[in-house]
Amino acid sequence: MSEVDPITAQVVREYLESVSKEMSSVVERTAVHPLFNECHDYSTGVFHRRDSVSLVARATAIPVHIFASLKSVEAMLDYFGDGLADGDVVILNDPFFGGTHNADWTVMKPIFLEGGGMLCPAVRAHMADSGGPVAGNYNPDAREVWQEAFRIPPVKIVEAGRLREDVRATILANTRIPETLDGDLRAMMAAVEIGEQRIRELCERYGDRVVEACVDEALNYSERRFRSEIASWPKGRTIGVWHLDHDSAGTHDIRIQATLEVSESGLKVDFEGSSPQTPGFVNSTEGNTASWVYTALCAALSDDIPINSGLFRVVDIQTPLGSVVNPVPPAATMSATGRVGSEVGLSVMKALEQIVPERSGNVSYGGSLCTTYGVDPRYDEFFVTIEYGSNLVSASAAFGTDGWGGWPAPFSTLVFNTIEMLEIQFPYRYHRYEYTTDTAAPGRWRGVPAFAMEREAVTEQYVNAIVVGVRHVAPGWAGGEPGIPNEITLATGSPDERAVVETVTRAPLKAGQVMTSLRSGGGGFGDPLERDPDAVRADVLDEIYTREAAKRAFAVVIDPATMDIDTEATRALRVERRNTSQTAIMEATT
Amino acid sequence: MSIMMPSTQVAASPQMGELVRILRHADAKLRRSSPSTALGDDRHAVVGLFDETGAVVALSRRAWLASLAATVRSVLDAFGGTLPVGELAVSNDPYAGGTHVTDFTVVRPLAGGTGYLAARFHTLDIGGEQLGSITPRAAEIWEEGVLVPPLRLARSGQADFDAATMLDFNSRLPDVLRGDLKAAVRTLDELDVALATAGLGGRDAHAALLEEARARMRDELAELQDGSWSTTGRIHHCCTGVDVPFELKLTVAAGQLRFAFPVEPAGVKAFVNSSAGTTASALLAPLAAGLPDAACNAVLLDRVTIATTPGSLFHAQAPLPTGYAPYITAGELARRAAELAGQAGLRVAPYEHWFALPARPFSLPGCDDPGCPFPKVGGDTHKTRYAPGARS
Repeated sequence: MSEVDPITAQVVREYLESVSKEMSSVVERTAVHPLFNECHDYSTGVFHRRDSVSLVARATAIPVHIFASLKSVEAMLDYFGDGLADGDVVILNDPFFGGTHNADWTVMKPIFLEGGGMLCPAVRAHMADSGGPVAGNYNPDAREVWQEAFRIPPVKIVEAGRLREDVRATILANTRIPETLDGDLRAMMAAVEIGEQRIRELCERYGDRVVEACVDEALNYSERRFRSEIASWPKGRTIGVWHLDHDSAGTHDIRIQATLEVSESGLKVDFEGSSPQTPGFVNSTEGNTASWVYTALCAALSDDIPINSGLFRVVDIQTPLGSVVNPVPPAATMSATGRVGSEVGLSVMKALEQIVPERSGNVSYGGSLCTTYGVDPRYDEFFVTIEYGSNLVSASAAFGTDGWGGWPAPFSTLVFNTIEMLEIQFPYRYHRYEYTTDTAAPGRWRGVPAFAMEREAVTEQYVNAIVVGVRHVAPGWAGGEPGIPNEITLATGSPDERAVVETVTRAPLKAGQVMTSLRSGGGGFGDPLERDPDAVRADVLDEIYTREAAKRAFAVVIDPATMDIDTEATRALRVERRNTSQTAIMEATT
Repeated sequence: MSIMMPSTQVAASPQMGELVRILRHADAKLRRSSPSTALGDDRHAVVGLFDETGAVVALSRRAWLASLAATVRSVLDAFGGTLPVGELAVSNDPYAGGTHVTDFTVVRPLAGGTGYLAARFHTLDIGGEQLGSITPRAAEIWEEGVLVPPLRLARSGQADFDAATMLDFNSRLPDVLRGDLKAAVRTLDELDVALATAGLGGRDAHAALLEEARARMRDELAELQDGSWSTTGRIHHCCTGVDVPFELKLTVAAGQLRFAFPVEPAGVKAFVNSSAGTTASALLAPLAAGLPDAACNAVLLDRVTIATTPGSLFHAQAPLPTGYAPYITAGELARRAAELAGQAGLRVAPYEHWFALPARPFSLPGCDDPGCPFPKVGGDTHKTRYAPGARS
């Protein structure tokens, strides 16, 4: 491979990042379902293959999507071998053949370079429905992959530049919303088309060999930076453990154990000790598990290190075959991108917490998940969507920052739907959609307040819901407090009211009935008694905490008349709390 | 009332006799070489010859005449009206001529491009909620299995392995499905050769056979008198709570037959919805059984109109499930059609075994109908699994 100067290498690397962003814009502006154009539940990136497949560049989106797409590109190449050519577009979604769960479809367009290399723009997106027994595909009753959705192993949807209408028709026959998915699929195909155009322009300008050399340099640079970073970490082995409440099939406290070994040669993450694969739909395929490991590690890195496969060269991931982090077919996997995936990320982060506590924090979203479906009489059309209002928010605090926004930044850039748009798109009427008071996990830096949603069904509809984060609530970090348990209640305030205990499938909501949810805002970071009293006061003024909660959680006393901090009372209370705490520790250890 | 001459008294032409013999031989080969036919159920296979326009020339068995013809038509339509030599397509789409998702039809052109061959088989599984892809509690087709609208498995003589792999992945028994497909493909390959050898693969031969059919049909229906007859029936499956009465009407006018449902029952969220293909096949079955081979083809289809409304119980559209209709609904429709055909003076031959219940009927535990005719089979937990909120 030819030598390149660092400036050119940087220009090419940034260019490929820009290509990824442009692809992302194409998807956002042309896709149909709000999962795309409102929530951004998709990711774009550029991959390279010479001796092995590498992620070269990506748009900021959902890391677990694009990291797992490495397996997609590998699966495409494994399956077709020499049978790929310029002009082909390949699609897949199969969890056991390049995917993670059936709802995530990956569209790839290989571009062959002089000398045998390949660049490949790719889009992975969560599709609202891919057939299967349950609308939205989150089927808590699934015990095998065929009970989840239509399986798509690598298949050419475009061959030599020509759309294979029959393949497209077959894929779209297996969704409840073919017109919507057709639009979404075309948006993904348009994005890789744009990606190809831009990459060809790049190659035209610099030549294939120079571009590949720049790709090598980008990967090498990230690897060097990562190795340099972990050189300062203490060497040795730590174990992080986290549990998933249940698998919707009767298995509880599913254990994810990550043994993190830091050595001179790099990092090893071994999941030996994790639970066996379960009957329920939470099994995480190897690609999904690896992507969550990468997500946790990337969250712990300096944020100026380019995220690409150069980082992954430093990491050796071991996943026992037949375990919940590397199941064998036909295990059900639909929920694993969130549930078990989150726990993988948390277990790795809990191991990291012991090495680099200032880098620890929530990387996952976990928690509840709710899909709703029915027929919207206004449009006389079937609808199905994920209800993000019931599962957004889980961003814990981190060193130097309170939790904010919705999901943790390392996990995703997914955003809340606007409820006005939701009410237009689906037969919903929102009564409440807001943060709540006295629910943010205390810490030196606090978590996000829990999020409350109250939504009326305008017409009869059906709900599939999974509630976790109750037995094992969102953890605190480095001495911070944990979050609160999640809740979903159906038909709230009516004779049919019932709280969802773990799972419901196809539960009806009659017209006029209300569904409510409360979503934990993740854990706090550090000792709450170290929180700046001024920050606590600001939280009280912002109604994140009441005065009583501020006193209880942070030992900050606020004058009810002036709303100023009572400095003396606060100091005295904090001393008393610390003494009490130390006494308790002494008693516990003697 | 017309009195028709028993068809057995009029011998078919040697060409038609030879064609039917070859098709039945191919049918037997398909059943014996296809893994799924380990069921030993010969209702689940059929082989047919079609002319270059897609019109049925002859079938190995008559039960699925209308459905197979409609599937071949949908396949050709999907590919612009023709399937070039070297191509091979498959479909299981109940909404495009098919019956239920386990019935796959393979279509390929004759080597000379002078017509088409089709083979249908019942495979054991194509995904969905339950092994076997017939789900008593299904409310939608996707609970039963995956839909395969016309999909090419070969182009220019080269297999599309990725499309075939896609089918494999969606079956719990991919080796069986692949075996069934291979059996169908090889059967049709050999059938192509056999027809060519017998001089039955050319356009002229097909035209002559269809002309012979027209002549036979004219004879058969020559004394048929105009009139109108009606009867009532009931689609009943107690385990799923389905109990739908219906009225069926047969009108004969100027030698044309028309079946209609004066009040069409709406589709139901249960697996008894009959596709247009199933309905047409069931209504034609008693007539087809009474006709000579020479007339049991496109000529019969041209004489009969089935009036149904898309979305109804007897013309299922997406997402209505159809899994059990080829048995329970088709059986009832065929019985009622036979009744009307008899009243109209048409000859009706035994047909019911085509649509009889399978050896292991699809029932649900917990059915509280004391007269439930379906033996309870263990292991089905649908009633508890799908009771709303059962897990809450």
